[in-house]
Amino acid sequence: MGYSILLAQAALNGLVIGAMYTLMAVGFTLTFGIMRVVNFAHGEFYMLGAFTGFFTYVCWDIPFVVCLLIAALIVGILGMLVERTLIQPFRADEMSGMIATLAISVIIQNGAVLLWGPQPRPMPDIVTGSLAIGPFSFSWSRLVVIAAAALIFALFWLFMQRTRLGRAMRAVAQDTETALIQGIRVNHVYPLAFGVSVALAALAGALMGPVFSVSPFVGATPMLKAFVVVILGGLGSVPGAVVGGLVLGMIESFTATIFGSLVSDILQLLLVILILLVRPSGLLGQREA
Amino acid sequence: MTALLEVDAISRRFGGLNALKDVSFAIQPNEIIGLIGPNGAGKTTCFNVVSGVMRPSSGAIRFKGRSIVGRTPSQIVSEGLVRTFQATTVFPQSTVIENVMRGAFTTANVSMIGSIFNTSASRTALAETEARCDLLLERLALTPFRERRAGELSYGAQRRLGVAIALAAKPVLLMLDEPVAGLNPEEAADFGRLIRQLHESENIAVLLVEHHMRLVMGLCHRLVVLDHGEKIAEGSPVEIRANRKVIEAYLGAEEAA
Amino acid sequence: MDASGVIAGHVEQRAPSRRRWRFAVAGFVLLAAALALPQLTTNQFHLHLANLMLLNAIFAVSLGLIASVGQISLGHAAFVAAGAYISALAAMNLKIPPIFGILIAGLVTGFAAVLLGKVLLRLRGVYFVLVTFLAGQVFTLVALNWESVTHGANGLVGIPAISLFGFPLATRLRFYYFALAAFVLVLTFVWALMRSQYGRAFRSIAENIRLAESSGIDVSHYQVVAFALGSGIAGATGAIMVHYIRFLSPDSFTFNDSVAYITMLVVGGRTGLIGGVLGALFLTPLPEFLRGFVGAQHIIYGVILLAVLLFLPNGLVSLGRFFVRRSGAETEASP
Repeated sequence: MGYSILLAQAALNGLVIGAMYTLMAVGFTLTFGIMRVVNFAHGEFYMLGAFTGFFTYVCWDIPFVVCLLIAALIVGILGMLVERTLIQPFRADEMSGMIATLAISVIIQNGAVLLWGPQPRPMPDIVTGSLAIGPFSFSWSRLVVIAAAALIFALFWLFMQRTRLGRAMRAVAQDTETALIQGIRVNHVYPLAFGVSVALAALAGALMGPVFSVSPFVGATPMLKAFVVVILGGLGSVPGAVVGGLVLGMIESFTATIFGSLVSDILQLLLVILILLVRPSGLLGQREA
Repeated sequence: MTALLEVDAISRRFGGLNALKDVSFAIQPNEIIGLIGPNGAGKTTCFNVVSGVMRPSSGAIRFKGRSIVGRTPSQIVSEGLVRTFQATTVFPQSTVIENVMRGAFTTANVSMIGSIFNTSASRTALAETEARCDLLLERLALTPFRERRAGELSYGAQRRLGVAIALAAKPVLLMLDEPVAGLNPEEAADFGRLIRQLHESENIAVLLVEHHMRLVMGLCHRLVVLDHGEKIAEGSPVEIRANRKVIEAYLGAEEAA
Repeated sequence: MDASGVIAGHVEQRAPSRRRWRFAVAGFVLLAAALALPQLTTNQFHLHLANLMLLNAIFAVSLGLIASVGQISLGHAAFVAAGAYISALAAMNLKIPPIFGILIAGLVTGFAAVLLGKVLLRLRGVYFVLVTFLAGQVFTLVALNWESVTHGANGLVGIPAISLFGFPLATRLRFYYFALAAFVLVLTFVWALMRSQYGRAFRSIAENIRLAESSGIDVSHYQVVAFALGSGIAGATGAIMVHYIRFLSPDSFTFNDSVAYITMLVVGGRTGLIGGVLGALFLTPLPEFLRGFVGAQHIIYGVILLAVLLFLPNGLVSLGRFFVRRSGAETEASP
C-alpha cells in the first residue's frame, strides 16, 4: 500500500522536474534550431530568473504572477542585448560563438557571486497546503508549478504557431536563405529568438526558486539537464525537447527514489552517451550540426 | 577480361522514395564511361553509392573482383578507386602543393613513425612524393600556383586541383563528379582533352557524371543513362543519341520543368 | 561548422633555411633564459607562478593537439584529474614512486582516451563537444562520491613529491627544472608530430574532412590518435602537478579549468603550439597581478576570452606577426 503513495509522489515530482527540464530544454533547442548557437550560458539566465523572482517576491512583496512576468521581461531583454552585442559577431563561426557563450556564462555566474554572495537563499512556497485525493496527498505548490509550466508552454506554442514573429522564427529555423528572400528580417528574428529562449529559462528559474532555493550556482544543473534532454530529443527539435524533458524528469524522479540521486545522475548521463552512440542525432533530432 | 568495376542491381531507398532501382553496369579498365540522365535521375546518388559515401539498400558493387560495399571511403581509395567532389574540392587554407601532397598521403610510401623522427628514409620518400606531385601540377597547368593558397584560385583552377589531388592517390578508376559544371565552353573543352590525355598516359579508367552533353559525347566511350532511378539505356554516344527512350526522357523532363 | 577556423595547429611545412636557423637560435636563447631564470630571483611566489605557467602550457598544448583535428574537448580537465588521481593513489596506496606513477597515469589516461575516443569521435561537431562536457561532469560526480577511494570532497593529503634517484624534488626551485624538462620534452614531441605525416593527416581532417577521407586518410583513426595523445599527455601532466601541489580533491580540476585551457588556446592564438604556450604564459599570472579583485579571477578570464574572440580572433600570435614583416610572403602556407 505504501508503494502506491511513494510512486504517486515520485510521479508528481517527476512532473515538476520534467516541467522545469522542458522549459530549459525548449529554450536551449530553440536557439540552436534558429541560430545554430549552442548557448552554454543558458543555465545562468535560469539563475538570473531565480534571483529576479527572489527579489521581487521576497524582498518587494509583489504578487508571484507579476514576479514571473518581470523575470521573463528583464532576462528576455538582457538576452536580446547579449545576442546583439556578443553573439551576433560570431554568426559565421559556430565554434567561436560557442566559446563566446562559455565566456559569458563564466562572467555572469561569477558576477552573481560578487554581487550577491555565494550563500543560497531560501524562498518560501507560493502556496501552502495540499490537495487530497483518496489516500494521496499532493502539495499545492508543486501542482502550481506544473500548471504554470503547462500554461507557459501553451502560450509559447501559440506564439510560435499563430503570431507573425513566431512564424518568422520557424521559417528561419527551417531555411534561413529562403526566409531572407521572403523578406524576413533575420537581424530582428535572432535577438528575439534568443530573448524568448532565455526568458523561458528565467521562468523556469523563478518557478523553481521555492523548490531548490536561490544561489549563483543553481544554473549549472538545469543546464546540464537541458543538454541531456536536448541530446535525447535532438538538437533543434522542440517536440523532442518536450518529450525528452518529461521523460527525463520521470526517469530522474523514479531512479532517485529507488537508488538515490547520485546513481540517478550517473545513470542519466550514461543513458545519454549510450543513445548518442546508437543514434548520433538524438531520438528525434534534426540533421546533425 | 573481368570488369574493373561491377555495379550489380543496386537500389537505394530514402524513406519511401526509390532513388535508385536495380541499376547495373560494368566498367572495363580501358574505358571512359559517362553517367547521364535528366535532373533528378539519381546520377549523384548512384555516384555516391559506388564511391562508398552511401550504402546501397540492396545489390552488390565489386571493384577488381572484390566487394566494396560497407568499406570506408579511405579503404576504397587504397584499392584504387578515387573520386572528386563538386563542391569543396580542395583544402582552401593550404598551398596548392600541400593539397596534392595530402592527396598522395596513402601512396607516399613513408613510415608514419619514421616521419616523426625525420629519418633519412622518410625524407627521401617524401622528397620523391613531392617530385611526383610537382609532375602532377605540371600536367594540370597548376605549377605557377604552387605556393598559393588553394582557396584563392579561380574556379577552374580549383577544379583542376581537385583532379590533381585525386590523381596523387594513384587511382585505377577515377570518378569525376560534374567536373566541368560552372566552367566556360573553352575551359570545359580543355578539361575534356586533359581527361582524355590522362586516361591514355596514366592508364586510368574514368567514370564521370555530367550534364554537359557535348563534353560527354566527345569524351566517353560508353554512356549509361538513368531516369527516375532506373537505367534506361547503355551504349556508345552514337547509339544513345539516337535512342528513343533517352530522347523522351530528356524531353519529358523539359516539359515537366 | 568550421572548426578549423578556430583552433587548428598549422605549422609551416618547410620554412626556408635562414628562417629555420632564426627559429633555432631564438629557441636556444629562450631555453637559456628559462634555465637561468630561477637564479635571478629567490621569490618563492614567482617560482611557484613559473611552475604553474609551465604546467598550464603543457595542458594548453595537449588540448591544442586534440583541437588540431578540429575537435574541441570540454572534458580535458577530467583527463588531467584522472591522471592526478591515478598517480596519487598509486603512490599512497601502492607505494609506487611518483616518477613511475606519472608514466602509468599517462598510459592509463591515454588508453582510456582510445576507448572513449573510438566511441565518442563518431559524433561530429557540436555533439562531440556536448558529450565531452557531460563526460567531464560524470567524472567529477564519481570523484566526489566514490569516497572510499578518493576521500570525496575532503581530498587526498600528503601526496609524496617526485623523487629522482633518491633526490626528492621538494622545493619549488628543484621542481622548476623538472617541469621545464617536461615542458621541453612535450613541446619537442608535439612539434615533431605536427610536422610529420601525422600532422599532415590532422590538418587535412580539420580543413576538409570529406576530402581527407576521400584522399585515403583514415579519419577515425587519426582523430583517435590525436585525442589519445592529447589526453595521455594531459593525464601525465596532471600527475606531475599533483606531486607538486601534494593535495588533490575533485575541486582541483573542474569544468572551469577545461574552460581555462580553451581560453589559453584561443587567447594565445590559433597555431596550437606557440599559441597554447603564449596563452598559458599570459593568462596564468594574470589573476595574481589583479589580486585586488578577490574572486574576480574567473570573470577576468571570461572577459579576456570574449575580448580576444571579438577583437583579436587570431590571438596573441597575430600581434607578433603584425610587428614582424614577413619576407617572402608566398613561401609558406599561412596558418
